[in-house]
Amino acid sequence: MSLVQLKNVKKSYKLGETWVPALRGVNLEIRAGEFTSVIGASGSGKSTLLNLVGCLDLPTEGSIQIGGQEVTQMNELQQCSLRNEKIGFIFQSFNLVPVLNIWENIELPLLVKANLPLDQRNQRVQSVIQSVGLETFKHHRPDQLSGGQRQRVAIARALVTQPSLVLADEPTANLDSKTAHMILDLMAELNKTQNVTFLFCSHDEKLIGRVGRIVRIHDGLIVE
Amino acid sequence: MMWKMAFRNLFRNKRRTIATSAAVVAGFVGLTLLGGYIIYVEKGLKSHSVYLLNKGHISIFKKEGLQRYHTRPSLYQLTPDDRQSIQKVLVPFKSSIEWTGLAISGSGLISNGEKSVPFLAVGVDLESLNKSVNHPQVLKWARDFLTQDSLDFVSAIQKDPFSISITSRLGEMIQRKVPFKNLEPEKKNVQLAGMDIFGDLNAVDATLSVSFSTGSDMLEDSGLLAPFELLQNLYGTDGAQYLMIYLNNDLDVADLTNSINQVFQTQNLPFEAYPFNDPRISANYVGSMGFLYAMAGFFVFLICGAVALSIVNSLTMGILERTREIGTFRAIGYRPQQLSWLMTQESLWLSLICAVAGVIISFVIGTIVNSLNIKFSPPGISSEVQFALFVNFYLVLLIAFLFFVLIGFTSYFVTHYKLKMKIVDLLSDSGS
Repeated sequence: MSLVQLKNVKKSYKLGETWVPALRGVNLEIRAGEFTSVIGASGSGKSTLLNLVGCLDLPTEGSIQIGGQEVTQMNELQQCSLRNEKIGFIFQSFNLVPVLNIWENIELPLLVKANLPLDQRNQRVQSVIQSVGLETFKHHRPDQLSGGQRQRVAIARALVTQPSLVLADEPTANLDSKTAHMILDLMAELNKTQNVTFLFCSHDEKLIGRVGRIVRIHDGLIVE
Repeated sequence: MMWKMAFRNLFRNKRRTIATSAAVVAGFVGLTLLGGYIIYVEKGLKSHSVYLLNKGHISIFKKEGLQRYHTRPSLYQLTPDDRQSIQKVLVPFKSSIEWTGLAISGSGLISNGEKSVPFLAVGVDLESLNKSVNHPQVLKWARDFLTQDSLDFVSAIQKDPFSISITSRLGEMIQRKVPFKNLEPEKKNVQLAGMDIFGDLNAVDATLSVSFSTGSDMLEDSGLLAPFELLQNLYGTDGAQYLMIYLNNDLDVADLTNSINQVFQTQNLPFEAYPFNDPRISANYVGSMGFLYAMAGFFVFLICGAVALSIVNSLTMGILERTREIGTFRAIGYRPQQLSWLMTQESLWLSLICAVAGVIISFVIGTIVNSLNIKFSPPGISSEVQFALFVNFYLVLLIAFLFFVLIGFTSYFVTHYKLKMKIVDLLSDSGS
């Protein structure tokens, strides 16, 4: 079943007086449960692709459907709900809130919806914090953790809303190779055990072996 | 948890938070003490005007009598029948009235047998004299306007109905120095001369008993306070110039004045009621308060501007540093309004902390200043008054509310622009 479908998606950015194309007509389908990596050189358009799939930006042209819903037609409120309920994000720089402890950072996406009862919230946070192996660190602040541990927290935060799709933009770029492999292994394990669909982008060719499906992008076009 | 996070965010950049807090606390203290001082002055001037200058909260004159009494007293005085009609009108308002009194004023000459100098006299009934000088509002707020022996005037009148009270400067002009009780008996005797209401010359004997202060530098050379009946004798009348109404609660003044005037109009009675804060009744009170309110308005504007700019500066810096974090919040589903509210919560925490600190500091400063008992002579005021600073509970609440609104709105507008940015731009921001 198709979870994400991009049809002839184009995206251009205005740079001064000229329009610079970032994506030049991308067609892509991602099925539920896939573990996909978008590989490409710096400036190839992979982050732009992830931003569009994650409803962080809108395409200049084309159609993007997530779970059968056309995101280009959604208003801001609907996009917020979609991001909160169906998409999880993992960022290259972890993007954790420094004044919150690990538990609170993970709980953050659940607070968008005020109607989720406290016991359910606690249950979900407890569950994901266990799955990323950080239970003993739940009262620590992000600056008390290593890079790998912080990215685990980010993964837990992405999973706590039980999304159908998790997007990761260069999730291992700030980690050493050993930790990077551990993070990828964790994502792969979560993909297998919890059937979470992962789409992540990387420029690191060495990670290819650990990924189920590879999409190569070059100059704003999918080439493979 | 959002409130908790907002609170913790204050400690991200402690130095900046302290600098902003210092500006807000200074503003809060400034407004609290300025407001407290104005309340103190207002209550002092009001008590002085209403009780010590015998204006009452409301004064009732014969129609146009306020303007014309001194030119045609026989026509514009309140006769005993008039006073009876007024008392009937006041019956429905009895629950609001503490007491009513009568006053008459006029001019003349006071003579020690060798020298005569002009006076401006007010004659007040004994009950009003007694209640006014002993009134809790006077003792609390206008004690500076009471002379050492002004509390003894009523007992002096009870002993000698010809007793009068004059200002110390008028006493000096007729070669009588305070305290008058120490004068030899024959030196206490003076004569008051004046034109009666029909224009004939009249004179009465009087006894110097105590001194008082008019409160006004201009009137201090001529002030004379006398029993109502004594001035009636001097001016050859059984009438009064005006009837004073003293209220239980001075918040009722405007409403009650309007109601009384309405009854006068509907019953076609030739009387007019004036509140004490009418400039024609208490020019000093109205003028002084007008100046103080204008000055306070200017300072409120300045202080609020400084506080708002401090908040704008602090928030702008904070938001610039947290641009990527805001982008993360947006990415995980937070709406701009929710983030705007988070930033506002931060500012509200700051306001709350500053308000608490501001109240404590204001209270400490007020206590120190009041204990120093600093006296000064304001322009136009005849006596020295204490420079006192009071922290008024309701004023603190009002200022805190003002700051909450000011800071809340400032936060909202500062964050509004940033939250309008595209999420990808927020996330890619380096925070510079």
